[in-house]
Amino acid sequence: MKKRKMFAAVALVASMILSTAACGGSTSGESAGGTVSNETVASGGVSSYVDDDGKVVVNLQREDGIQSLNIWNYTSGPNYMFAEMVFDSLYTSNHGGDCEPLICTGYDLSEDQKEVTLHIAEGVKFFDGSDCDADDVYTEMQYIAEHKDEMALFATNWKYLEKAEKIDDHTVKLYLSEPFFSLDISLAYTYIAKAEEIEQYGASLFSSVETLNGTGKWKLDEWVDGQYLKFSRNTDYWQGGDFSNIDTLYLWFISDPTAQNAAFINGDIDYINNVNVDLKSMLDPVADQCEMNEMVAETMYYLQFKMDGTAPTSDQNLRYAIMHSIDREALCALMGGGVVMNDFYTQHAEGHQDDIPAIEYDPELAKEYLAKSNYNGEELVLLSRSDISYADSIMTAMADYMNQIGIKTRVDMVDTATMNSRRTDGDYDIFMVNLATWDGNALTQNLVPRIVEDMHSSGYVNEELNDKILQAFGDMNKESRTKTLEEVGDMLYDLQGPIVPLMQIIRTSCTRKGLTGMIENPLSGYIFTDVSVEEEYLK
Amino acid sequence: MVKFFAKRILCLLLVVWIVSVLAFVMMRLAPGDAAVMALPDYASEAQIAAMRVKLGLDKPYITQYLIYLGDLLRGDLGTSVLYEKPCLDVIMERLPATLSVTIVCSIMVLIISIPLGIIAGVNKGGPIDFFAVLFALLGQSMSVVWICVLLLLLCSVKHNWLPSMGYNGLFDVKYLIMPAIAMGYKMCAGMVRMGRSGMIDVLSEDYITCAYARGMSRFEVNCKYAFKNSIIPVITLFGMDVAAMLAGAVIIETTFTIPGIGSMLVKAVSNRDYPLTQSTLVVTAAMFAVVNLVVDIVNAFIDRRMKLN
Repeated sequence: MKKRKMFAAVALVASMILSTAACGGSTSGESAGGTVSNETVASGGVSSYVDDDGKVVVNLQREDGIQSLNIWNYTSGPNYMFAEMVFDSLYTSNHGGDCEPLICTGYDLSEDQKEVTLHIAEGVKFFDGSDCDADDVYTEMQYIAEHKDEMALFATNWKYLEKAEKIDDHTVKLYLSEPFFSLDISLAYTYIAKAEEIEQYGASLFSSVETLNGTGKWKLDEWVDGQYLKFSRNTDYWQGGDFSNIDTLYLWFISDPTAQNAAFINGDIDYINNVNVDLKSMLDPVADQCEMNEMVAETMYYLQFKMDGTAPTSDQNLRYAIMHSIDREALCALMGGGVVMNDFYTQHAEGHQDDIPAIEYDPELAKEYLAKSNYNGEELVLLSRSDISYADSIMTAMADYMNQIGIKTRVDMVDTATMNSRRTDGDYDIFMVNLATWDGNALTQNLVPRIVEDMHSSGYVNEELNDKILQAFGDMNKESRTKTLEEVGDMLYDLQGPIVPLMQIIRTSCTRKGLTGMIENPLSGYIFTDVSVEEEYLK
Repeated sequence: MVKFFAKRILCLLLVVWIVSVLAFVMMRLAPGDAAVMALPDYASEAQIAAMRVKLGLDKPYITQYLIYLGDLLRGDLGTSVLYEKPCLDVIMERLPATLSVTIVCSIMVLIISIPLGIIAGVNKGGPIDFFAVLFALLGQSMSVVWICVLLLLLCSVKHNWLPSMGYNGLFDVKYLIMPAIAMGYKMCAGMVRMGRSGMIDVLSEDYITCAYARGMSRFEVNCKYAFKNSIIPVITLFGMDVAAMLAGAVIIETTFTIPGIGSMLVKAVSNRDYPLTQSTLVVTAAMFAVVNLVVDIVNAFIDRRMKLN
C-alpha cells in the first residue's frame, strides 16, 4: 500500500511539474478562436486579418474601459479614443499640441481676440445621411455656452465661451469673455452632434449605441461593457470611405498584463497598448510577428507639497532636502524604465528647457539642507493612490530615502476616492500621482488648475507666479508664451514646490506586423482613426 | 409548507433590508466624496455643490436612506453615477456573464467533487483516497492568481486549446472553461474534503453496522444509507459557494476579460457610486438568500428528519 501511495504521489507531482514547464509559449497550432458575435477574429499565432466571410477584422487593446458614451463628459484616454473614432470634431488633434482643421476649415479672430468666426466645411455628413452645417455647430456651441459647467470636457476647454451666433450656412461666430491660447485645442475636443438631436435629447443624447449619430470615420456597432467596443468603417465618410480597408475594428479592454500577452500570442488581439516591463520576454516567441515601440510618454509622476505656511513642507530647505535625498534614477529602474525630469515640463511641452540640470541625488547635501531647515522631527506622510502603477514601490523607496537622512516618513496608500477627498481638503503633507501633459502644454491640466486655482489645496499663493501663468494662458503668440512658460518653470524650479515633477514614464506598445496608418499619440500608444492593413497581409 | 415558505421569505426580506442598511452606512462611512468623484479633478466648489444637490447628498442621511428605501420598494434601484443609466440595466448587463460562469463552474464542481469525495470516503486509506486528500490539499492551498496565469499559459498560449479572453454567452462554453476552473477548483477541493469526511463519519455509525447485519450488500448500504446522510453538509457547502460566486470574482473576471458583476462592483465602490454599489449588494444578497432557501428545501427532501416546518 505504501508503495502505491508513493507512486501516486510521485506521478502527480511529476505531472504538475511537466504542465508548469510546458508554459514556455508557442506560436504553433490553430487558435481556439476569440470568436465574438459570430465573427472570427484574428487567430492562429500569425494573425490572419481576414475572417471566414472575407472581411478584414482587427483587434486592438486598451487597459481601461469606458463607462459612458457621453462624449461631453470625458476625462480619460479610452473615452477620447472612442469619441474621435465616431465623431469628427471642429479641429483634429494628436494630443501633442498639433491641431489641423476638420469640420471647421479655419477661423478668423477679431482684433481683441474675443470674437472667433468659424468657417464650416461643406459636404460634411452625419451617419444618417443628413448634412452637418453651421446649424449643428451653432446649436452645439450655444448648448456648451449654456451648460459648460455641467460638462466635464468643456468646463475648462470652453471656460471663456459666452455665446454663439449663426452667420450663414457655413459660418458661426463665437463670443469669448477672454482670449485664450488653447483655442485650437478646444476646437479639437468639440465633437459635433446633430442640432435636432441636441435640442431633443440634451445630455441624454449619448445614452445608447443606437442613438449615436456622428460624422466620424467609424460607426459604433456594439459596446459590451467591460469587454469591447466594436466599430465598423463608415463607408460613406464625408471625405471618402476608402481611408482604411478594415471592415470591423474591435477595441478590447484587457487590464491584466499576462492576459494581454496571452491574447496577442494566441492571435486574439493585434495590438497591446502597453506591454508590462516584467513580462516583455513572454512575447519573445512572437517577436518576428510584431513591432515594439518604446516611447517616453508625456506623462509624469510628480510630488505635491503642502505649503500653507504651517506644514513642515512649507520650508524650502526641507523640500530641497527631500528632493536631494531621492534617487530618481533608482525609482525609474524600479518602474522598469523612465526619464528623470530636469525641469517642470515634460520633454515636448512648451517651456521645457533641456539645459537645466536636474536636482541630483546627494544624501550629504540633503542632510545639509535638512540641518538648515526648521524640521523638528515630526512624521511626514507620503500619500499616493494604490491604482497607480508602481506607486507602492516608489512610495516605499522614497520613504526609505527620506528616513535615511533623518526625515521621519511613513507611506499611506489609498483608493482614488479617498485621495481625491484628502486632496480637496488639503489633508496631506506630500502626495504623489501621475499626470499627462495633454496637447503639449502644461497650462490647461497643470499650471492653471493646480497652481493658480490650487485645486488640491496646497495652500501656496504667489501672485507673481500666478500672474505669469495667466499671462501665458491668455497669450496666443507661441513664441512669447513659451518664453513666459520658461520663466514660470524657472520660478518653480527655484521653489521646488508646490508641484515637483519626478520622472516621465516609458511605455512600450506592441503592434502586429501589417497594421499601418496609426498616428502616434504622445501620451502613449496610437490614435486609430486611420488604421489600415497592408495589402500584402491580406493575401 | 406554506408557513415554512412564508417564514423563509420574511427572513429573505429581512436579510435584504439589513444588507441595504449596511451598504448605505458603509458607503457613507468610507472616506471620499461621491460628488467629487462624479466630476473631473478641476471641478469648482460650486460644481461640486451642484453635483451634491443633484445626487441628493445634501439631504440628511436618514432622508437619503428613506428615499433610497422607498425607491427600492417600488423596484427602482436608482441611477448609476458612473454609467449614467439605471442601476438595474447595468446589473442586468453584467449578471448573465456571472451566471454563466457560475452555472458551468457548478456543474463541473458537482461532477468532480461529489463522486471523488464519496469514493474516497468509502475507500478510506486507498489510492483514490490518497489522491482525493492530495487534491483537496493542493486545491485549497493554491492561489487563484497563480491558477489563472497557469491556465492562460497552458491552455491558451502553449496549446491554443481555449480562447484567452472574452465571453459569448452560456452556450459558447469554450470561453467559460478556464474561468470556471479558476473559480471552482478551490470549491471543488473543499467539497471533496467535506464529502470524504462525511462519508467516513457516516460509515462508522451504528445503523450502518446494523444494515450490514441485516445482510445488505456494501453497494446497497453505501447508496441507500451512507450517501444520503453524508451529502447534506456537502450540499450546504455547495449552496454557500454558489451564492458567493454569484457576487462575482474580480481576479477571474479581470484575467479572462469576463464582463461580470464583480469587477463592476469594485469599480462602483472605488468611484463611490452609491446607487450602483447599494443596488448590487442588495441584488447579490437577495440571490444569496434565494440559493440558501433552495439548499434548505433540497436538504429537507433528502433527509426527511429535516421537516420543512
